[in-house]
Amino acid sequence: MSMLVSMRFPPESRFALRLLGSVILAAPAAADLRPADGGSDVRSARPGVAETEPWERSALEAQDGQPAPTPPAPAPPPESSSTPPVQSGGAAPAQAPAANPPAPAADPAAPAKQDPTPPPVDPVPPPANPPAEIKPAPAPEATPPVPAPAAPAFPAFEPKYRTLDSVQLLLAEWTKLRADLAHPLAYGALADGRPLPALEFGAPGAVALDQRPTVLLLGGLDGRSLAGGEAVLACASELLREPEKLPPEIAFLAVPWASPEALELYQSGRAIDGRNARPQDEDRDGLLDEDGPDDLDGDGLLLQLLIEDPTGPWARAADPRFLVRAGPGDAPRYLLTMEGRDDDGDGRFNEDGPGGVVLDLNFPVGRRGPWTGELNGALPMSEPLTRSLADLALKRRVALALFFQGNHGELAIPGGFAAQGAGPALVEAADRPVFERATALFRQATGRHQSGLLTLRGARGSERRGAALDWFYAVTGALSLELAPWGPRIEMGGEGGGEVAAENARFPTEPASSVLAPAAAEEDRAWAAWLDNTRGGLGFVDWHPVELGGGAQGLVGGWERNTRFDPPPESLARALRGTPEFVKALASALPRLEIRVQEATRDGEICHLRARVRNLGALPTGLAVSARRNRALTPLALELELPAGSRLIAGQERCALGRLLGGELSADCEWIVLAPAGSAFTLRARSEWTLPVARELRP
Amino acid sequence: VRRSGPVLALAIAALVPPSAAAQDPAAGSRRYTAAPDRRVELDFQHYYTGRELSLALSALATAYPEFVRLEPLGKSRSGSDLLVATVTDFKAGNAEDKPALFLGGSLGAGDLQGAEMALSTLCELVQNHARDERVGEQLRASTFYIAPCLNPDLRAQLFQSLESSGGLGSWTASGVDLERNFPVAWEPWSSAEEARSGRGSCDPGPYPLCEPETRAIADFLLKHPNIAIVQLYGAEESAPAASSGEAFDAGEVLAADRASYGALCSNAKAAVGPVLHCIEGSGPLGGRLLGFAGWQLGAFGFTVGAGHVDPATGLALPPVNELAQLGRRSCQVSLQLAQALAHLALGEPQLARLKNDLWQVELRVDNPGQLPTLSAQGEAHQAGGPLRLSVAGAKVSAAALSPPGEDAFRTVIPAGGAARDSLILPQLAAGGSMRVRLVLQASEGASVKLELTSPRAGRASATVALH
Repeated sequence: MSMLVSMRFPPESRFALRLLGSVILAAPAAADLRPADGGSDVRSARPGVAETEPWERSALEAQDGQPAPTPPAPAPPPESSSTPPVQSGGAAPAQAPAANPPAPAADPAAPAKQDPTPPPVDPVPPPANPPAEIKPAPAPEATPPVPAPAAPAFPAFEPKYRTLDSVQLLLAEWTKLRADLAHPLAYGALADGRPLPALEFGAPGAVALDQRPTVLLLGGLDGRSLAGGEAVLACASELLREPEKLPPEIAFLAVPWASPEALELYQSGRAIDGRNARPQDEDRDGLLDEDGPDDLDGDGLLLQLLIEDPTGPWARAADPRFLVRAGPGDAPRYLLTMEGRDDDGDGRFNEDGPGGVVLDLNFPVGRRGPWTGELNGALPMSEPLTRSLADLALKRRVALALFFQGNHGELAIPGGFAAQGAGPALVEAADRPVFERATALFRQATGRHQSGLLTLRGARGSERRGAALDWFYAVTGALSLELAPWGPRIEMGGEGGGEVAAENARFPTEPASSVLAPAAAEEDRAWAAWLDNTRGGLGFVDWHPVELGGGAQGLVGGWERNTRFDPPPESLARALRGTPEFVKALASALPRLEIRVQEATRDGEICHLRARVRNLGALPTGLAVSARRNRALTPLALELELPAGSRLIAGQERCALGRLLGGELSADCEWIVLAPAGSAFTLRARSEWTLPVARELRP
Repeated sequence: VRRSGPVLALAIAALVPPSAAAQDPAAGSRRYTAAPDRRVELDFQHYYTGRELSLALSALATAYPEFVRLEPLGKSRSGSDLLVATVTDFKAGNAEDKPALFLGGSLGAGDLQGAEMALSTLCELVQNHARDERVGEQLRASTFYIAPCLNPDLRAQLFQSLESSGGLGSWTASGVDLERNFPVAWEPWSSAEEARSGRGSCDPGPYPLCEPETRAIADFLLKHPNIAIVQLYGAEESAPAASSGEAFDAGEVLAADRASYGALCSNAKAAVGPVLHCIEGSGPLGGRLLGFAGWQLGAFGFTVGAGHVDPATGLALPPVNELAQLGRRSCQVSLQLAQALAHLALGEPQLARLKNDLWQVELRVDNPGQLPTLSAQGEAHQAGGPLRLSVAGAKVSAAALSPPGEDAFRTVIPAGGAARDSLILPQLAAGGSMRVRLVLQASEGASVKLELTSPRAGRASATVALH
């Protein structure tokens, strides 16, 4: 088995599958096999798709605490072990003898008796000479694994907060060092003409990068997550450092600063909310950006401002650093805004500051009503960079879209808003097991303690209509995830490196309730615990009075930069830990197709052909949401190319096979063809997230 | 003009010399005997090809330069021009300073006849400016932005199919449905019911305004805040009120403006029959132009019915011999809508000297129109711009106003920063009024200009000499 594994899976794939095996062990079988609503088995419920493979079931049936099962390497019989030509390449003849005995018997971890499907029968051609009868077609679609040349030394990646220029320089250096694998990706430019820093790379292969299934790594699209940008750089660096371990047939697009103008504004302290530089008339008075924030106390920081107002929606919590929604009887009440004066004298403070639009919220899914001055832009997709990113994604076959941003410290799935009434949830029930697998991989790779699926709304603590994450899932059909490198619990536990553990701290956290004032929100308490226990409380500027002019007063205070939203520089490496491993595991788990010929016989000019498709990857061939958007879409199809002079008697040239889950084998496709002797047929399997694979048959 | 005749036979675009009526200085006073000012002969007994339509619009703009200016709105996906005619009496003020209607035709398969209806409206307006007092008044007071064909690619495809096979045959729409591609309540997928029903494409596109046509329309509407009404065309049968998913309920959303809609629909019904459908009766609005206009822009949205749905094709394609009559009727409805637009009026300012250089000016502000100066939707979402009173020639030391329905005066903070030269006033309901009291600082003998502006109600001004 291990030999088979080593032949079929590249090293990073083995890592992914080991993780996956552990995941499967840890996860309840129902979570993997059934939709969360308790419906029937997703796979067996779908017509035309064969049952789960034995390796997968044996893994599912294993007990917790056992070693991870052997990676799921399906071992087809010799005549049907038609590894996709692209994958077998020159190794195909070497595989043939090894595959002569029935494959299940070769794998003690997956006993043949558990396979409910009979071993594939392939009476013709004779097993003695399979290569002469069933030849791999010269399929340009596929990428033969090309041995990587000795790569020059790649510098170790050092996480630190970089400027846009230094990110550009770093990518340029990497492009130079890995010129055979990577090149700059031009998909958008800043308003001042500077190019957007982006890199495209992948393992060497015959298929151009822009034709391959794509893994998109986006950092800081929210305009604030500088740590997200560093996470993308860390992932790209790790992948480029060992090019021989790059998953084959996949392209990576790394965009560390996906919202560069906003990140520059944020980094400079001129904005705190992720907005870009585009002027907006937030207060609709016909003037642009006329009332922005000011540093009232001259401390060099733009923080927040509390103004006492009987109609204000906020009250101070028992821990007076934090605010809570004011309830009946709560007093005093406050209006909350950014630090600054009423520059335009309209009685409102800082309601129309410089900029801007948060690109991450400039997408259309879930956005219903008109713009009311929020940071999501007057119109969805109003920003050129938003449209450029969307157009890029639509041109490519994006299988994974990973957003590195936020400060929840967890992995969020699409769902930035609650379903309305009885309306359907954004994430299809049939896709939940896929997200559960990804979440389990995340846990394994990062060591974080996320207990289950977390929607974007849940992770962020409020609605995020118009989030890019939701658009990528709903429209491109990509497995879309938001990974927040930083969060209040990242430094809990104090594992290694002399980090401070919250559990060992001297500072007590706020009690759950108080008779004097309401308790702070759970998230605030978590951040308070982190701040007090790891930073000695430094990093929060306590509310202090300031003059607002005309006799009015306010309170200024709030979190300093690089505390709550981005980690302190010394905590950055800890925040990024495990993210490259997660990306590698997920990318290596992407599907790959294999055509298995069940029958290829000839009786005079009448040919009988029967074949199946197996998904060799651990992730499905696509998500169910694609079919919701495009009802005519067939996620997986096996096509028969007829030779000249032949005629199809039965069967369809394009056999739709639905969607294959990880390791799954499809139902049969059958054809009867009238064809002259010696004719060669080509079978070609296509799916959303894989390169096409082809096989030539001469029955 | 023959329906399928070559371009050379395009009598529709033939310029004719200004008619006797046009040269008749007394034409405006003769309501019964004056002939229309017909400078271009257009035929309304056939449907126009894209090229014919462009030529007709060019001919009208050339023949009536004092009333029509033609400009490109954008291009379709296949490169055809989208044209919009700005129709107003340019001698009576800038087009963008007057409240406006946007008339859009042929946006989808459901309003193929819209191009002819819009073109007919344009003709009726410019030919009757002198002999019909109502038309002349509306051209002076309002602006009509008329874009007869917003989806030329689909229109060409449909007519080609209809004329080549005598029906739609197996034709099905492909590509993005423009009426699912506007931003408000856009959804990435159509409902299963929509996908099963009809021939129309239900593809909303990968994101709102991804199509050049929808982007051009939205950009135009956004750049013209004076557009208070968006009017499309459709069948006389109101659209089915089906809804699914997050498609919003127009009735609920637009309840605050229901009275305005109701009044205008009643007027139209009394005049020409039940052909004016307000935004509420036009079906689910997710991704639709009227939804975008009504909810995002705070404009009033209407569909004018012209012809009935042909059961054979599922299209509202009136017989060619009815087009002229339907066109005239559509113009009547559009004129009624224009008459309902909000307008501003300033009463005679009352002046009193308080002390030395301090003066009190009190004036009355009225909206005699049938629509508010901004819809409730527009007001709720701060779309459409404020009602502003600007003062030139004096500094506003203090201000107060008596809002509609109240006698007491409330303090108003002057706007304009340090200059303190303007006031933002509350929007006025249909027929509403308010009083404004200003304390001005200026020397005796100064001339103070008071100007009231609202993007959707125009402007009014008065001058006060301080003495």
